Amino acid sequence: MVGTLNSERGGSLPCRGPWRSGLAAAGAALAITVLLARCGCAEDDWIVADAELTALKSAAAHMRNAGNVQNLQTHFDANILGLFGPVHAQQHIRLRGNRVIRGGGQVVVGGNGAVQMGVNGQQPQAAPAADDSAESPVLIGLRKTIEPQLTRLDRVCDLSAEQRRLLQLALEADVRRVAEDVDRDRRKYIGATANLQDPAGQQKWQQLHQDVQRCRQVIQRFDPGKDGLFWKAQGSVLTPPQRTKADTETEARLANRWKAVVNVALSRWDEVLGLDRQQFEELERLLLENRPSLRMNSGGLAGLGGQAQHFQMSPWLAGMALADIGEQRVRKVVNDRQWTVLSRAAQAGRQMRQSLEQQGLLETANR
Amino acid sequence: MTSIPARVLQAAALLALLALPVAGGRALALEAPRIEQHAKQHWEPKLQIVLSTHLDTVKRICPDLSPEARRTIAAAGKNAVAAAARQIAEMQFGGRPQQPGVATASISAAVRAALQPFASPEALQAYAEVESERRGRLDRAAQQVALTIIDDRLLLSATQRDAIAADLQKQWQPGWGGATNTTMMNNQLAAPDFADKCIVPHLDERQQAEWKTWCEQAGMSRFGMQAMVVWPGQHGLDISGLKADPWWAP
Repeated sequence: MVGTLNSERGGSLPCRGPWRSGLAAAGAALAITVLLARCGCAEDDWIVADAELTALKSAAAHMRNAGNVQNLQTHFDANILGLFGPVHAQQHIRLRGNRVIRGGGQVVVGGNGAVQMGVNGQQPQAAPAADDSAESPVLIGLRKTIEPQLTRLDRVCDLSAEQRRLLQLALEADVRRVAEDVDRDRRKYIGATANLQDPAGQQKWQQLHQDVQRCRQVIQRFDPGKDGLFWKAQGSVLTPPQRTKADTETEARLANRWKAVVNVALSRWDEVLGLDRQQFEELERLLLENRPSLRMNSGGLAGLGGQAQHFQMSPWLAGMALADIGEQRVRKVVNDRQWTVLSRAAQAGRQMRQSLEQQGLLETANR
Repeated sequence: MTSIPARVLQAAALLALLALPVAGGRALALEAPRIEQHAKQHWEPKLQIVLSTHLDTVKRICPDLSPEARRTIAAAGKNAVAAAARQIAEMQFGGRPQQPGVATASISAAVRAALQPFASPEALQAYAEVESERRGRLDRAAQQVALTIIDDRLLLSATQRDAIAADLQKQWQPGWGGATNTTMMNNQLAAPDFADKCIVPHLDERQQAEWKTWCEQAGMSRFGMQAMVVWPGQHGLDISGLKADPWWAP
């Protein structure tokens, strides 16, 4: 092994010239690795052997030749359970070079040649729901992502045990209602496959994507802070001072979130706009005053990472707010060159509004 | 078949990285034509916008620059754009890893240096201040993003939020500005563990345990991610058809 360097294309480069010292260091690294490994290896942590990898590649090739058969449950779960964070997610690792490193669990080569790897010993296939007594992974995932809202409320309002119990019941009822709605579609795909080279299979595949989209929207639009029993129960369970505290906290978090979104958008736009201090401050003030109705706690956003979407969408959220502010007020702050660019941002933001609502980042107009 | 724990592989990857500059030099030489092409076609147009922004700032501060001064400054900027584009492209093709911000900062430095013979000390100072304020605003945005994602995950109280915000501001380091990039890792948001010292002292026991797990699974600096890199052109704006200001080509 030491003396050749395996390239990304699977060949090897001779150890000459400037490569030599680099490879010496890399070789030393490898030697240290092996020594350390001998001292502290774990049974479920290992590198797939070349022979095994060749077999996996052959299996993938065979599957490709036999037709493009897709496991619909895997695709459904990858799209839905992925919203809930790492515990329920599957990590898909593609082959790179000629090695695959796996950290436990079973390595599976998919029909598209991708190697799917379970995380921390989990199987790469999503948990089957064959056992009716087992809770659905949708329910478990949704509960896990939504429950912190009760924890936050508890920390802010210092709930009594009885208040906590009642609110917990209400939240659980909401979560079960939404999970059941998603599970109705999920059950259709348990153990189901579709051959994409067959018209009937293509139809199934299309249906799967429609169902996935609907289920994602159900989850993304579910906000226990605004909908359902949990929200209604707060009205009767919390005392007026607790209610005020909860509202103050919500408002503070919304304001912080919007301030961060505005500053991310403006500081990025600055690369093109070249704003001076006065322009920046004035635009910031206008945007902060025109906060759109951000959604903070919807099912999709509550996932461990979903909240980042507000930042990733910051140019469009801020553009949308610019459109609401109006040309006249913005033009007073910027020059012609800057306005040319900002007017396009406002237009793009306006066009994105519906999509942002569908993603659960904003309240819908009729809420 | 060799049994190797994941943490050992991480250590090995780190050690192997030490060999990169030497091996990378050879690879870069082989890739030179592609690097050149990528720099010209992909990065130069993006960096030209960065240059236009700097030139616009100079124009506002020094509206009376002579045609000769304008030509000189614009030419210096253009050269800096080409050099920075090449530097970023090399980095993408496996050159020495660094922040693309370093390359874009060189454009600002080139404009400032070219401006020096033609501008008053006050004008130069004003230009430096604008640049510094711009960096400061990016840092402030990054602090707000870091605080918001920590709050979402750890459920901070208002007091904790204020204390962490103050520490982030006080102990902020150059190069953390890229934290405005929110990146997913292990299907969760990457933890801003680079600011560990600003965060941990203000967490309670439950939050500290949660923070530890989060960092182990998806810590930005723990995994040596490029998450904190802000590449030129990440503004999300439509800049098609924007023309260079003819004032700079008298």
